[in-house]
Amino acid sequence: MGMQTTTETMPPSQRPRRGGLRRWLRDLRAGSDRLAVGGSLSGLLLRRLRDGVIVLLLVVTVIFFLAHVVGNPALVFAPVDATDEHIAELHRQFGLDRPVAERYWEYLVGLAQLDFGESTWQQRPAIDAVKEALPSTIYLTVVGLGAAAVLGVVPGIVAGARARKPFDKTSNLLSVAALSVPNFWLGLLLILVLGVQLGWLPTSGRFETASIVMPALTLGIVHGGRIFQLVRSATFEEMSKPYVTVARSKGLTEWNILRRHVVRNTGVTTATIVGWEYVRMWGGAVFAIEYVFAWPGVGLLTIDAAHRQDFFVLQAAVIIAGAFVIFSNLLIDMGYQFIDRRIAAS
Amino acid sequence: MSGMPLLEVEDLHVTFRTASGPVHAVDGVSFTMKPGSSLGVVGESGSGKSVTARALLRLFAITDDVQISGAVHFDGQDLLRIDERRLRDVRGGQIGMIFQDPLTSLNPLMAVGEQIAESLRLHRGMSRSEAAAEAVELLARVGIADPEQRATELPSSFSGGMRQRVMISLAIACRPRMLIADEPTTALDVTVQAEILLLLDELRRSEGMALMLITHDFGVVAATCDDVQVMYAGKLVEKASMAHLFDRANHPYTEGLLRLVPRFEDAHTGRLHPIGGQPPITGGGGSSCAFAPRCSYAVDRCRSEVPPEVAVGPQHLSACWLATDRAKDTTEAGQPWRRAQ
Amino acid sequence: MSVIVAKRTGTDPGRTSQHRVWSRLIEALGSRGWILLVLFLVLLVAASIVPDVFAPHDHETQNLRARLLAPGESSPDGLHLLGTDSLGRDLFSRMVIGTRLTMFIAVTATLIGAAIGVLFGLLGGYFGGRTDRLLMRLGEAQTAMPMFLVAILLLSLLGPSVGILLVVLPCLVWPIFARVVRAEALRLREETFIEASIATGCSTSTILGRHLLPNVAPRILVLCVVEIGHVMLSEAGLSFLGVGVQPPDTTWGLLISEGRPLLAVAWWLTILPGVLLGITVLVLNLLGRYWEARSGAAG
Repeated sequence: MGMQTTTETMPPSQRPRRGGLRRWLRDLRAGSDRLAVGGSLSGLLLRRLRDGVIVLLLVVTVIFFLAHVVGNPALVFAPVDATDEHIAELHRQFGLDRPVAERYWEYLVGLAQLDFGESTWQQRPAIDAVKEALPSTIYLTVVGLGAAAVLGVVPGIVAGARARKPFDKTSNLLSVAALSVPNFWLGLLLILVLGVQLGWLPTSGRFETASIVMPALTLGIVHGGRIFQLVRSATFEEMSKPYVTVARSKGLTEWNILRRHVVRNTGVTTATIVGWEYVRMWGGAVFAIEYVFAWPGVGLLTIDAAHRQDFFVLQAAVIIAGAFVIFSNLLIDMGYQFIDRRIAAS
Repeated sequence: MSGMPLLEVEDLHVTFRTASGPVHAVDGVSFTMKPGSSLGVVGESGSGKSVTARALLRLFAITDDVQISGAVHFDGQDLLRIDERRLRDVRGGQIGMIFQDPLTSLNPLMAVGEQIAESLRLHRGMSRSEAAAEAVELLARVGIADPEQRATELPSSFSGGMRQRVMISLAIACRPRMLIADEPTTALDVTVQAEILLLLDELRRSEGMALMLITHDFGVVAATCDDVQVMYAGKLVEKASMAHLFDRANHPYTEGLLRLVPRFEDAHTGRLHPIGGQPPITGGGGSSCAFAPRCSYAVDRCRSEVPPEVAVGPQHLSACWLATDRAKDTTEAGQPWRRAQ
Repeated sequence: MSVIVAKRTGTDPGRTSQHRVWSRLIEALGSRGWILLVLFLVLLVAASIVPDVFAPHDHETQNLRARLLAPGESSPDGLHLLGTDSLGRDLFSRMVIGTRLTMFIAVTATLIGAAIGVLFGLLGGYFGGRTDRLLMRLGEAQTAMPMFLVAILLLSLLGPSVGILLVVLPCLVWPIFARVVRAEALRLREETFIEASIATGCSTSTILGRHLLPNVAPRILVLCVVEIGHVMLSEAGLSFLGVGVQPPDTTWGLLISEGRPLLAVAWWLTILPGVLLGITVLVLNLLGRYWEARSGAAG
């Protein structure tokens, strides 16, 4: 008890620390200065676009140098029993006999014209394969995000409003568990139970409407866990504010306080949390889950390409998926800025 | 009417269970209020005065783990034991409450008129449009200019004093029989403070509400209240009418607090009179007078026994061994104050 | 909010004492639970140092007569607690053997990532300006990229191996450390005692080492615990997809991958290694949260 009164006089190293997630949320909001920007919206959009292009260029460059300078694509992509002539032929094909700078420039020009090379495995332009797979992944991530929002937002609000009650403790533990198990394993578990044992749902491919259910559910559980945690702490923080006590002193029910007051104030934060989770989804989980369910998206394509040493498809998949993520990230930030400014203005 | 108390608090105990053990914030507090009366509760921060007020309506933070005992009789029911639904009827309907910080006490994303109307629709069963019109009336009532326009604005466009006015209009919206004001002027400028106090006093008289004013500032009480009680470490240490107390403060702690109020006489010396030491964080449970360590009159008995509340004059109670001794000399032996009433 | 109102006529002593016993028990479990978590981790570390003590069978011995035994069934060699795989190898023993590499990769990769992240975070947070912008943009670039795909690409370009994993995995975690350290460093930079050190003529490196580092160290440690779990999941994911650890080396993630084709006939081969991995990551997560909360309570 005593320490609470002496906080001001204590050195910072000894000051009480707040909850990890709440702090993380705050770091996310303030620390990374992603959103702490002024200026006009269009100026901001241009700046973020420029940043996005720089990021893509960086990734492309890393890929190029790894492939062409550190590694030797001719050796990597040659069959195991390739003869010397065959390798020399590949060498020419990759243009490895010319200076690096020249090749890099050509490479960039090619990319700018959306020329990602020919797929060695599918015998067609790599970009066609990616174009074909991308809609499936977008469809899956959008449905998965919907599932995650349903699983995360509502329980998160309830748990935050009823902090330290049994529901909060149980759902909190469940969400940590959802974040702790490997996502692909969770998919396999669902296949085993819902597909193999109960036979309720199709377990692989995208041949019928119901095919989406299991992969989307898996994605929803994994990402719903994180959404839950963030929404819970945002709601909890809001519930601790004085105006909630005032609302209570007016005789409002807890439900009405939550519905009419708290949710209205956490709305923007919640929308942002869900938006950022969409970007996170592209950071990993969706690709392994596609592989588990043989969902014909970018993830499955990439992994097949990796197994078949199809460098051009791999590269096209990474760059196009990257561009897509950067673009959606930009949209989300813009949307947040737009809403935030409208609120500030009103 | 004059005989029946509106509020009767009996032996109220409030204990917070924290990670570092229980904290007895309120330790056996009893008092009554008559309809339309005004009572000031004075004490330093941590004396339990705010917790007392919150306990009346069972208003605590969601993380608080609280144990309450005693009884709070209000209008024929025990507020500590009625169910949540009936308690909600009392909250805002029968008892209105005003809080310290007007900046954070209003929902930042809801028009102020709507926040007032919410209460009206809930307790007085008004329609949306009736409530909106009444909210405008109420804003005008607390002295907000151009209320029709202001009702549609968000709290961010109001100044601190104006927000406190909004808070007051919100608290009195349903014509409650009692108003609890928890440090209503602490966060405001001095000139605004006086305006708010005047408003509260005026509203109390015109609406016939009882007013319980919680503050650390004797000056605030002097301006507004008929009766005053002083709290220290979760206990009531002195209780008297305002006029009486100013002249004949009995408890050394009250004396110290009164000396804290800067007076014109001191202006030329520029001297303030602080009470030395720190108030204890945890009240109660001890076997001594909680104020003894800071008291310049303390004798051995103060450190070994808890002093009882005794009548030291008409409607004047004090919990101090010195008072007890004095009381023995003059009147009958020390009586628990409730019997004295 | 939990408000308990005592009964009208004082408190019932019997009920109170019973209530107290229960709440004390729960409190004790809550405050001592971390010992169980630590114990679990100690077991894992022991299993990775001396696997033979824990493994009931030789993990490589094949026995075609004892193929695909379900958990709890026995072969002439003895009980197979968690069953056997399609070559008759004991699953429990294979999981024990896999512990070493799983732990090694996760811990090493996290430490490398933490070192890079702390360094970048301190530099960026301390110097601010251009250095800061550059480093943070780099970190942002990563969060904006589908890093898992990039990892797959890198691993298939450079050839999957444990060594390459130790290059790729730290790349996934460093921005987290950098962001946390930077935020803390920025905050501390404003503190008066840092100003005082500058005023008294401390060199930059002294200030970084003496003041900033000890201040962020507790959070870094907690973050390490949690991130080890996350790196474990990433490694498992990459190994599961066939671009991580390669047989005959074994990690839990690879075991899941090997069991997958047999999911319908021998569920234990897929599910049980995942359970172990999940529990381990859960334990790390809970421990991290516990320490974070405790450092909050203890100041």
